[in-house]
Amino acid sequence: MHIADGIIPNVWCGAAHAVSWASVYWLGKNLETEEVVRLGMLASASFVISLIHFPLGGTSVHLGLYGLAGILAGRRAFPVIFAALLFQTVLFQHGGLLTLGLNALNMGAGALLAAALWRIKAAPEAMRAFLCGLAGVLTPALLIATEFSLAGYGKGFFLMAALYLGAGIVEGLLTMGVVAFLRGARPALLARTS
Amino acid sequence: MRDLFQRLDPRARVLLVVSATAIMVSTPRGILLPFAAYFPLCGLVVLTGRAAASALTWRCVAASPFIVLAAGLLAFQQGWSLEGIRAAAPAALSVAAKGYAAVFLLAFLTLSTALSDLLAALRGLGVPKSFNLILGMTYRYTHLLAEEYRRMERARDSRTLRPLARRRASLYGRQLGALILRSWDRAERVHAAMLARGFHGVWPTLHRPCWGALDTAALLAVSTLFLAARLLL
Repeated sequence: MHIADGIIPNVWCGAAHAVSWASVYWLGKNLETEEVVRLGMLASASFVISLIHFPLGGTSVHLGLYGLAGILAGRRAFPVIFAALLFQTVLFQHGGLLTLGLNALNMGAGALLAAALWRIKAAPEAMRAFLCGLAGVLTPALLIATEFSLAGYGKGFFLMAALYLGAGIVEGLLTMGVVAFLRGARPALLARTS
Repeated sequence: MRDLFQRLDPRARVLLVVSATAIMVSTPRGILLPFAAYFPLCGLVVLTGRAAASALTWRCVAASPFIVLAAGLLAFQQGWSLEGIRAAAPAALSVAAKGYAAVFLLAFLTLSTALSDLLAALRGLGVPKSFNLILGMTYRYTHLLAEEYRRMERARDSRTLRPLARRRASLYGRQLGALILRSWDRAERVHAAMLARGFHGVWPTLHRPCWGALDTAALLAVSTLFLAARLLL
């Protein structure tokens, strides 16, 4: 769910832009060129993955795998998601230029929560991966529903957020699959942020 | 006339669209009269550039589900009674009008300006250096990774005789994992190649953006017209 322009008050969009750009600046500080290339490639992969759609409840939902971005890039996932969202906005009008900051905060919060969950070593890896995938979808959905509720659109979006539980489970299972694959093929990738 | 928008500096094009959108969106909910001026003004802006009408229409249609949903939530907020819908209709219509006008201008900007120019505009508008590099890498490698994913899909389809309903998540998980692994490996090769060619942290560009009097005039004129409609109607 990307919020389009014209739906949320300008002041909120401006504040979200300020916070987002400050976060991009802060989280992107002291990046080595090697890391920049990796993050750019991860943003490309994230954008390509977002082109994959699957049917859900009579509508179509696209993958985001923001939880996986949190696992692979840690707190640096925020600039990665911002870049992927910028491309989605510009190429497909998913969201708007004014709401880009708010959308980045919503989606980025999911990735940052996933990055935090991934660091909890007490739970089995498969469960952590599933929860990261789930958090990557449900956090943005709940944030958007809350923002809509506060902006005077009522509680209707919370029903949409409930619908996204299905998408969250799908992404959780996919994240589990990706993590299991990477654990076998290249465990060093998973160790970078844990 | 049709080339006027393309003659502007990419930064001016972005600022022009952002300022017009911000002014339109700032119209209080429930007030519809200014849109009688906004839409013709948007049409005028579009006439100054090259963008196919069919593509513009299609992009507005594609953005409809979210806009209609938001407007619908407002329209039915006071219940399903006719009086409730009638009372909420102006607010719902104004949200829909703002949404479509904003998508219309954004679609025009992106259809009439190359992605590389838009990224150059962001660079010129002071985007942090590291983020600018990430954007550049994303721009360069998205098509390549998309093609790589399509190749993987073809390979999967040619080797899978029937749908594997129960194991689909694991199958797609491995495929996406392979895509990430390949992009990671590619990143290392690309980085080595960049260092070999003397990369020092800044993308080299042939064209330096140049802000001129036309850019200032266009930005001021469009902002003033939209602002006048916003304040006077």
